Amino acid sequence: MRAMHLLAAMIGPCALWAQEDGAMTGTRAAGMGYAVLAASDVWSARHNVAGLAGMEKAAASVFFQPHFLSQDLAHQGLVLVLPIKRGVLAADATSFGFALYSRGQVGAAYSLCLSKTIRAGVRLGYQQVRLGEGYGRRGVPLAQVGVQANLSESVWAGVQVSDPHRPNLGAVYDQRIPSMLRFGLGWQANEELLCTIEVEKTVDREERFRAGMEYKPHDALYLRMGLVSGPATVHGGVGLHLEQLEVDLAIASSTTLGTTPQIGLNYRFP
Amino acid sequence: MCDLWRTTIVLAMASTLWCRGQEDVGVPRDLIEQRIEAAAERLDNDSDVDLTALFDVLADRYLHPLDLNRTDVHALGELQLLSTVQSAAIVDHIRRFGPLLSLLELQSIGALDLATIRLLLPFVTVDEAPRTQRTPLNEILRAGRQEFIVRGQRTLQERRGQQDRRNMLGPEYTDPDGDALPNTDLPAVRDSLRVNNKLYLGDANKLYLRYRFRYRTTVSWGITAEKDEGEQFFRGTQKQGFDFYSAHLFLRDMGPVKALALCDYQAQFGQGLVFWNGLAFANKGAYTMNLVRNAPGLSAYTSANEGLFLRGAGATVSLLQRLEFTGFLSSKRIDGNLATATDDSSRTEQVATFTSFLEDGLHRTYAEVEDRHAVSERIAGGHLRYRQRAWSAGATAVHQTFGSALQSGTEPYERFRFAGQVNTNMGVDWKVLHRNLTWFGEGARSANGGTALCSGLISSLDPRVSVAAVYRNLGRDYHGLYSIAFAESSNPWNEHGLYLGLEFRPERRWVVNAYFDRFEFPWLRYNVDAPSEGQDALCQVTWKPSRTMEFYARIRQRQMERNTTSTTEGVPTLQAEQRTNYRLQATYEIGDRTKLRTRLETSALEQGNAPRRNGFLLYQDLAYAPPESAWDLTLRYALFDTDDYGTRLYAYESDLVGLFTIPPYYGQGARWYAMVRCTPARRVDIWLRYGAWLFEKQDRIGSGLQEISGDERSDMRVQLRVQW
Repeated sequence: MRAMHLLAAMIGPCALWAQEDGAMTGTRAAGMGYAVLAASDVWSARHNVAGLAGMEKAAASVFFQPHFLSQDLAHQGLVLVLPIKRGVLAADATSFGFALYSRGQVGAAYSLCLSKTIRAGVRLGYQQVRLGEGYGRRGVPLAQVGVQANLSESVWAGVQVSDPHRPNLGAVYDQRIPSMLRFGLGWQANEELLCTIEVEKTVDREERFRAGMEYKPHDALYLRMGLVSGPATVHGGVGLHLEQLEVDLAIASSTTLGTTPQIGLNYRFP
Repeated sequence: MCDLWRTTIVLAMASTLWCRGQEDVGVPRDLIEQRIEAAAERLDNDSDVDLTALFDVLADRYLHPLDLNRTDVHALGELQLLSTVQSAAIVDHIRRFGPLLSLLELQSIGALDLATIRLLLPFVTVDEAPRTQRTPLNEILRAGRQEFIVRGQRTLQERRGQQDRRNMLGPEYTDPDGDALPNTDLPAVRDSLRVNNKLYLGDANKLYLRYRFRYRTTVSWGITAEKDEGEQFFRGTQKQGFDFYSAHLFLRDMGPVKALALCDYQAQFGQGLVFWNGLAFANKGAYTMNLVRNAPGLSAYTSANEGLFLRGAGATVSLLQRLEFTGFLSSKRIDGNLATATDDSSRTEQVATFTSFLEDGLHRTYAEVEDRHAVSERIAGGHLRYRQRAWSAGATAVHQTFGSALQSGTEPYERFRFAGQVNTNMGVDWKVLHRNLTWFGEGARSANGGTALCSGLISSLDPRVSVAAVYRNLGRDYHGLYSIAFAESSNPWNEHGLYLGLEFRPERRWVVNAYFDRFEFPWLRYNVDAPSEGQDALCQVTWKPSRTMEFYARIRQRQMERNTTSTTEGVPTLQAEQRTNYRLQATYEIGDRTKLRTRLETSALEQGNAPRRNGFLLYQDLAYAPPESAWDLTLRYALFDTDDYGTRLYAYESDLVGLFTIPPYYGQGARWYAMVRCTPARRVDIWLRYGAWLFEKQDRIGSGLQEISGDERSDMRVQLRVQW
């Protein structure tokens, strides 16, 4: 019985992590506190699949994020984006963990512009969780639907629903992946400045608010800042754009847990 | 739209100019007071502050406006009317497009909104010819302005400490528990109570006198005298009359001597980490971009605070065109608790030490009188400043010596505090403007090796969006005895934090201010028996639909850690404490003579698992000022209901000119005051103010000798000002 409690305590956050794996990806987003629901970039495949439709060129991206500077808690991922005749396709994969506990997620996404002002997309994924020492691995299908709308010349709104079908990990895990709804606004104040805000509700968790900012003082340099509520986390980041290659660095600092850095590389095909 | 706006500006300017012509002596009533009030609101939770210095800066600048074409960020900052971003924008505009041709050009600067331009206009100009260097003495005496102020204040109810006196104005003190009071008519009883510090020596009146002479901003001299409530006057322990006297002579711009201070003065340098005496405006508050200190260097001391000044001499000399040096010396006696310690039983050598700084300046009992001027304090310091148009850098060193050794406490949280007789602080500060970016900061070190650093960036990323970040790392062993740092704690040590601020003006009538501040205290603090951390966030949305209306809504939430109230054996544990305040305020004018303000504020305090405690305040202000009339009236009626002192709410109160009050409202009750100002003759103003606190379900107010029996406390203030 005691062992079961311990196990429950260990895997309790599993389902939550599934969400974190889902949206908390990409170094640009990390620099802005992941308040990128209304933005468009390579990792839109995970943040808001509708944003993919804004990608005009094929691109690839990888990131590496050692949570709280621990190798065992490293999170890493890869995404490929390919615009096709009508719409944009993407494939992504991320993994987290170490020998005794690990998770991975893969997915494929498709997004297109429905009109000049509306983009929509859908992503189907598969999440796997493994606990070491004979508890085995379990997997579940995931689904996200996202929409972005251009409200005015400079304002975009974005909304994404994740896992409305509440998949259950089953077996010893006996836990559902909670459904999540996010809504956000992005304001392109001028050519250099993008400001974003959003609200996120996971069904079994307190709501979180996010705010982000990206500023381009120079064509090749991006500075980013973000703030996330409850528990409060401060984010910051820098991006260097060298021709087709983009190098991004981000840092997130949370009151109780400490600091998490992240590095990412993007390559845009010519 | 644009044309309409331009017309408004011209009209505003015209009316300002007209006002200036009308009132040749003194400054128009509201003009400065409104601005002071705005500045006082930034102080937010400090009661009874003396903002005389700021008042003087504005009054000077009203009579002798600042020439925008010949100024720098520094001088603009002193007015406390512009944010850093705004003053930087003006300087940058002049640098890029040449001197301003007219004040109208201000509106082409994106960072300035109409309301700010209106605030600024009376104090700036663009066409003043360069001032002549030498002015003969008789011209100074002829054209100088003099001011004389006398003020009296008194609480009408008798306090416990005054029970031996007859109270002519209100009820006598009776013990709230119904116990018999000692018969103070017997001299022996009275003397015994006095000796045991159970009675105040003096009467309940508080008196204040001030004379000041000023010629432009270049010459100022004056004296200030003050007697606090309960202090003796021309008798007993105060044979010299007032408890506090201050005098100053201050000269500016005499050839290479930029400033010369004799007798009492203030010195403020850099960002306040090394040396800053007096109040500092740049701090956390609803003005989220107001973060850079504009250190004036030396300035005349005209306030009545008994601790925050220097006594001696100081001078600022320009060495080269862009390099200036300030040197100052001060020697005075400060209040302190003297203890005589025998350091060894075999040798009866006595060591005089003092245990704490006392800054309230109250000397009402023998014990307080004994602490008066108990310790000598000598301060010598210097500041070197190199100033370019777009950047400046400075170095400060200040050495302090006390006549007796200060004892640090024995509590663990006091372990790294200053102790001893001698301390030296040194530091460098900088301020750099580059395009839309301002970078400022200061690094300091005290003699024991403790260090402190504070640095920030402010940038206007878009005409509508400004952001700021301030990082500070104040060592737990930094000894900044005369420092005022940008910090959560009132002490400039033992703190490490990051502040992020935002100002967003989506449209002319709307402003959103927000900040998020996170801090850690690496060492213990009072009532916090472990290293702790916390955060503070504020968001305010202001809407100004027209010139006469302003509404704002504000949320502020602070989280800290504090000792648990339950005493558990063993490891001391901390519990979270969260304070949340919501505020709504509306300010609006009816006609051209009545101004109304309504504020609603709530506070909630959650400590650990204890039930939440709440506070509520609602007040209505009315200011009635008929144009060109010889009198005006200010009224407030407030109802408040807070569960305890922890959920208290602060609110700024209008007071006699030169006096500023931000009292805490707590308990359950009503507060009202009425103030009349009248101008019987052209250069004479008289103020009368009566205010009362009416508490519910309370049989006493205050504690100790300050205790008043009953549920009402009221006070009366009178002030006369003559200017010529």
